[in-house]
Amino acid sequence: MNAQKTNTILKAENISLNIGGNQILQDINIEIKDIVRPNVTTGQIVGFLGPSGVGKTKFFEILSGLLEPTTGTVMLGDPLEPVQAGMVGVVQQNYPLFSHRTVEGNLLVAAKKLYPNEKEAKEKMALMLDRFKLSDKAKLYPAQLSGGQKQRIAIAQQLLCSKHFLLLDEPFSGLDINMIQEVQELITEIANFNELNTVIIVSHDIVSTASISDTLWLMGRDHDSKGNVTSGGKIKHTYDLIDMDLCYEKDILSKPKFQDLLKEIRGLFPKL
Amino acid sequence: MNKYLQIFKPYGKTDKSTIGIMVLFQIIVIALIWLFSSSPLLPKPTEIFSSLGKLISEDNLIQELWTSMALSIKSMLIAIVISLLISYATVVPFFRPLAFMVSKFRFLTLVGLSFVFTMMTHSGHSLKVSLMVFGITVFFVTNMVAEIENVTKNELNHARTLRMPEWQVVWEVIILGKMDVVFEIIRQNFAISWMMLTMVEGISRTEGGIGTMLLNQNKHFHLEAVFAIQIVILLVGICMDYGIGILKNLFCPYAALTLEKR
Repeated sequence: MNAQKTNTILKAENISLNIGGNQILQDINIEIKDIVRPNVTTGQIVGFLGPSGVGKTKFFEILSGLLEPTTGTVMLGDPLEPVQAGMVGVVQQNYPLFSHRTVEGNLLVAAKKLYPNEKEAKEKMALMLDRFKLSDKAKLYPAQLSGGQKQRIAIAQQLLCSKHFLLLDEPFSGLDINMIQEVQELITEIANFNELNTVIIVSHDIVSTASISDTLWLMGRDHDSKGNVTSGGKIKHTYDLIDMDLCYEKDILSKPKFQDLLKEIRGLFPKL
Repeated sequence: MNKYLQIFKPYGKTDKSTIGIMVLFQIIVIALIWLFSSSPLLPKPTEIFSSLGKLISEDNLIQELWTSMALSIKSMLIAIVISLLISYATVVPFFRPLAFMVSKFRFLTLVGLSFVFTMMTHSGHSLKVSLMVFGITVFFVTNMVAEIENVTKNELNHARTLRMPEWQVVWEVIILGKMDVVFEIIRQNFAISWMMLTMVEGISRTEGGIGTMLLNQNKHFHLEAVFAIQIVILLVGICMDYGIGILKNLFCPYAALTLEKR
């Protein structure tokens, strides 16, 4: 598809995290470059895969500026600047929303952060509701929404106040196969809203994450010969799915090359 | 038949009509026990209702009830303001020891503190208000601080990711987000304050009140009057509880939506 990688839009250098003497993360270095495809508005999707307990959530908090690493820095944007809470939209696993606000209220409180003008904020909110096909739910409270609707509102809320980065924590957790496909399409659509959009997925669902990602990182830890953990979480393997010609398309799952990749990742998982 | 057996099973599924029949049955059983009881300690309903009429017409029961309600509501309002200020302040580490200390004061007895409060206040009314406020505050702060401590890191982080500065996080997550909980705590503490009323009105009887009236009738072994006053206290308490519930639904309509029935 002639995709070209241009300038760096996210860079994490030497990230380590030690909590109470436990090495949670160790020497993580990642770099995400803007992907440009001629004549197409396209963002990108980055997947972080790893088994439970490997430190994915902590790394997620560091990337979003919610947690200070013991060492290292996270820079993002174009031009790059140190990350601060609010620069990255974060949708946690349980889709938190303000239960005391209606859908409209939830979106408006977020929109006002980027658009202090009330009228403009309301216009952006209405656009977002329309885009997510949830205009008829505007007056409802979160408790009146289904899990899928809550997820969409949580994503819409974050998109309204962050600029181009969105972190999704386990977006496929607990979903059936139809819902997974719906969420995958939603994530791809969000990534392609804007050329600079970058959606980062933290997950342990190999198939769902790999099939829509442009880049895939596998997080894991070092082990000794007896299988004991000897290091904090680190990036153990990187897959550039653009170079591998395995970017998202409807029938990606039927590609033998993609199936080989899944097999390889599944084989690596127990050792991570 | 099967639906009636459900009322004897743990978490049995019951419909409204079954609940209605069950409650009616239980009321009738209690009324029959009461009517046919020969215990001298349990006056007959007729005696109690006749005593109630006498209390209203001759002893100004309504006036005394109003005095007590005014005292209770005034104390409750002052205690709510003080308790919320102390509880919300716990988000700032400097103020946490204060809330901890206030919470531990719930182990003190009001009777023991009455001398100190008498020296500090200038009238019977302010003495009663101070004692009530103290009694409510120590329990209110305990409950409210526990609720604030239960706020998860995820809830706070959610607000932070929306570019909210820390004070706005407190406003959105703790103050607005816990408004329904405040009403629930008010509800519980109003019941506590209503229970304390008799004791407080017994410590200072200058203004009268239903508590004073109850203690006087108790002193003279007017059991039917004591029962009549207790019934009035119970009914007013239930009405106030219901009223606070209505206020909660009015100001926090979302709260009822989150209550999932078992």
